Amino acid sequence: MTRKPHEDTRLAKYVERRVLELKPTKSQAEIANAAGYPNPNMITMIKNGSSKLALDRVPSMARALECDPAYLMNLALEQAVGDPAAQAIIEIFGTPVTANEMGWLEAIREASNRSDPRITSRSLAAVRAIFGR
Amino acid sequence: MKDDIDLTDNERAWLEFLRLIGNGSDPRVTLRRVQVLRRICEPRRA
Repeated sequence: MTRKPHEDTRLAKYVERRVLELKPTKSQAEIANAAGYPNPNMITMIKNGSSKLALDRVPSMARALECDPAYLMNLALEQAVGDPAAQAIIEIFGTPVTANEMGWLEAIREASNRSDPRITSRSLAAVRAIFGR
Repeated sequence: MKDDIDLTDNERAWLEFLRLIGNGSDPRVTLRRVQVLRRICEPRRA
């Protein structure tokens, strides 16, 4: 069994990137402390995938990393695949909508005059073009 | 749960597509993107 079971997860990579981005203003020890971990080594373990981010730590970690808690929760839920409790949450509540995603939905609502437009092949192609894909 | 997250089925479809196309990057809404979106979503004239 691998010692870094969560190494290739988006959460591990995101936490690593975010810790680096915050380096000028915040040390890893300060991030660990703000997230509620007494041992800064825990952040290292989350970054390298040895440990996953516990769902109950997501709010405090999001504050520590200064990021959207819904976005972080989605990444943490992704790590928790196979966990029956996490699966039950996703099944009933769906996955959280981030602030940016809510912005998109509001923009769609406004642009369509709240007509609840279906996503058509024409709109799919146009959105792909927005993102250059 | 937040009140503004009562999504319709169509909106959930938009959300899934945006997540797919954004590839996990949680893209921001920008002015240019909104302008293009407006053209896509404008109700067609009869």
